[in-house]
Amino acid sequence: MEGDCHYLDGNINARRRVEYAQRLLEQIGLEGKRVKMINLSSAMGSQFASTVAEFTEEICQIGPNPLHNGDHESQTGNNGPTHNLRTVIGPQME
Amino acid sequence: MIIAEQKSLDEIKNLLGDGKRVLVVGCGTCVTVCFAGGEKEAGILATTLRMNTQLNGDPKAVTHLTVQRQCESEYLDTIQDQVSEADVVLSVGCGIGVQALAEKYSDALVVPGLNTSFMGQPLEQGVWAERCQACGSCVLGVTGGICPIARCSKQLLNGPCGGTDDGRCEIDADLECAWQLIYDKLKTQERMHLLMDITPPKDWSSSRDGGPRKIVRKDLRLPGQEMSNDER
Repeated sequence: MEGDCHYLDGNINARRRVEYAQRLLEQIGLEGKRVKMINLSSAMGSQFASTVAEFTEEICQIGPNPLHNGDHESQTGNNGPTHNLRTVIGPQME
Repeated sequence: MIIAEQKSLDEIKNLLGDGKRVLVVGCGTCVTVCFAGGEKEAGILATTLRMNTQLNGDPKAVTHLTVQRQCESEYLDTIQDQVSEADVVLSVGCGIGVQALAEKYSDALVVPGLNTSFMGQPLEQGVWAERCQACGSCVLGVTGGICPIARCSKQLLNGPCGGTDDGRCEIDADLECAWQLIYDKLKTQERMHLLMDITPPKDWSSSRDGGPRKIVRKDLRLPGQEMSNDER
């Protein structure tokens, strides 16, 4: 759970990064709630399943990513129409 | 170091205008340290612009790169090709970097992505405070290392004023009274006698008040370099 990370404050740092990603998405014009973080242990299988099902429903309500054109080839590299946001956030918030 | 903040996305988009091919240029020095325009920030800004403009139906092709120091011409030599391919160069270096780019590549449209604010230092993570006004006539030797030009709201040279309030400034209670800090420091250093010397009115001609400044170091000039009017 939060603060009980195997990597000490790793999941606290992760939460800050997720919140940063949410703000970036809002700035871009997408919905920040497309990214979410919850804290579960590996023993909480049923909670994981219900949480994922719930989140899936939320995402379906929001709708597909309007920038996703289904062509993964064009989404790689510096010059692609979209760029993997995850790869540029990285350890920024350490 | 120089402290800057990124402009808002709306302001940046206005500056980019109709330019379709945008090159974001980061800097690996001061603006990296204050998380405003380093490699990470340049990459994130490029991605943000790319995605945002595509969402808005006016997609721009945005690339990014970072040079070690944007303020020195030699570091800009290697990016000529990328600059020539761009309609607009968005510099996320400090104001000096923006101007150096614009001067180096005079045919390029170079716009600033940052607001350059002050010379300062980090106090803690995410907090930077002004520490130097570049007045050109440093008094830190007699003020215990605390600058009354940068840190006193009234820029007093023989402070404190009558408004010092329990170590806080009467102009801005969030500020520590610089002269209280100077007093405390000189007391610790057993140099209180310095406070008895009256500092005369400052000659501001060495600061920006005296006009744009330039320093020429004759000892560093290379043989064969043309002498400027200042050197003659």
